[in-house]
Amino acid sequence: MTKPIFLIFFPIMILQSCITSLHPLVTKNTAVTDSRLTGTWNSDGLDYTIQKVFESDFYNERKDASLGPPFKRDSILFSKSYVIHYMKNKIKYDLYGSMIQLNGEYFMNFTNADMNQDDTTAIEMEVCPTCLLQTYTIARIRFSNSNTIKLDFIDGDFLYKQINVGRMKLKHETDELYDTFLITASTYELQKFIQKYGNDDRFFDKENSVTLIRKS
Amino acid sequence: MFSFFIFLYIFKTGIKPEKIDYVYTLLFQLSLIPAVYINIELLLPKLGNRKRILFYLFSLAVIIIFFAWINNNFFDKWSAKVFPDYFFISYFTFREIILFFSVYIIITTLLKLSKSWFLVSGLQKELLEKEKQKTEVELKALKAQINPHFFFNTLNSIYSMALDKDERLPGTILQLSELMRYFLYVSRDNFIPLEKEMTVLDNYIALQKIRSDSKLNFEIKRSGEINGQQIAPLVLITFLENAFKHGAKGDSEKSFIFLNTIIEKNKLIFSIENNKGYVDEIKTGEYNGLGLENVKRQLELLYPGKHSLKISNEQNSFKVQLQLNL
Repeated sequence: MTKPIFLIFFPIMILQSCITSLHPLVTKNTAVTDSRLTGTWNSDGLDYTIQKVFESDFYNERKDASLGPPFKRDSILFSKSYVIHYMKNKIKYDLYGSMIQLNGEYFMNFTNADMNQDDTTAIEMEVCPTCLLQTYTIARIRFSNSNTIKLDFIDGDFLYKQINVGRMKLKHETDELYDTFLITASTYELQKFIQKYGNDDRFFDKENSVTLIRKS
Repeated sequence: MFSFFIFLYIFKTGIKPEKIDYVYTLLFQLSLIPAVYINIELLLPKLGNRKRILFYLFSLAVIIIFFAWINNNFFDKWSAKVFPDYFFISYFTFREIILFFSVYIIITTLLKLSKSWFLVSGLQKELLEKEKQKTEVELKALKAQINPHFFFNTLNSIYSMALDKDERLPGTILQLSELMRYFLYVSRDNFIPLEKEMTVLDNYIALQKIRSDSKLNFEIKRSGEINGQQIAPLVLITFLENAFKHGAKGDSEKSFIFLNTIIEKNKLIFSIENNKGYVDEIKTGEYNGLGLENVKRQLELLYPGKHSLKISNEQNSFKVQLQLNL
């Protein structure tokens, strides 16, 4: 039986040019929370709900069911993490988001929690997203005020180009067939990298930044 | 340069080194090299001895920590300003950098010490070679002094025989020629078979006996196996020659020479005693006793710590006892 090695999984809000990392940026010892994050938000007509994991509908719906060993293992991290829920094209997306503060800036890494079709009559999805190897995408979070959050995703194209021209030293794997690459640097290295270049705007994709406006 | 390529392959990110790996390795080494050279060129020569070892280790620790701190801060902070278009961080913890620097400095220190050891060893070898050459030159000079001394004494004897018109003179000259051959060719080596030296002694005794008539009380004893043993040439004959010179040429009525040679396993005990006579017919002036002094020096050079020489100058006799570890 062939197991999927990894899937570069892009939820809707995470665009193709975003960076994908094998290792998370945030660990249970470094995770931070901010009450300004929770609530219902809107961006470009789409509604997003951000809740702390153990207070989320996502958790309440599943707490009696098997959440599996990884969930139990990461329960300390999840106690400091968020679930981001939204729906697009009749598909419900749930993401885990964990936040860290580095060099005065907030950063969040996102990873897939669940993905379901809303239409119960539709055919079942052939691929179970949670069965795939978890990867992480990273964004800088800036609170403009209590009602506005700006998410600047790390620009994967920029990193890919710098690595290819030999100007960036960051562990990675490339897939020449699909012309994609995956950052394989350790959490420790990722944190140091973000700590150093977290204020460098060249690292962030301005075109694909997301601004969330609070609805409630 | 060698360590640069080792580091390059340690630090490389992908399968083969990229441009960024060369830059990173070069910059990493730039923070390491000063620590290495301060240690090798400054700390080690001035503090690297037993008396100052603690101070040396303390200074070395300070140097390592300081340059490890520079390395860590350079890659984590300063490089973004110096090289804004190159993106790297310090990929090691501060402790790991200290450990890395320590290992590298220990290796370079050991290399420096081994290089110094080889240098000292080479100089010692060269010194020993020079010393050996000097010894050989000195030995040649001593032999060159011994031979004329011996022939001078023998020719004195032959001169006396010629004055007496002694009929044994031709045979004496023949024996002398054989001895000359020995001195000229055989004695060039530092060591010769003991057997040859003993044969020469016998020839010399025979030569001297001819001219000393039957008045000389000559006793010779020899025990032990002489085959397979080596000895420095001209050592024993010099004592014998002096015994004949000072004994047999003295008061012929009371003249005596007692010679005893004992050969044990790797040991030779040579003792010779003669009466003391009046001065030689031909004065040797300042060259008197030159042969004995030369032999003493020869023994010091060829048998250092392996011989003992006792010379007893009694009222009526002169006794020499030589012990050699062959």
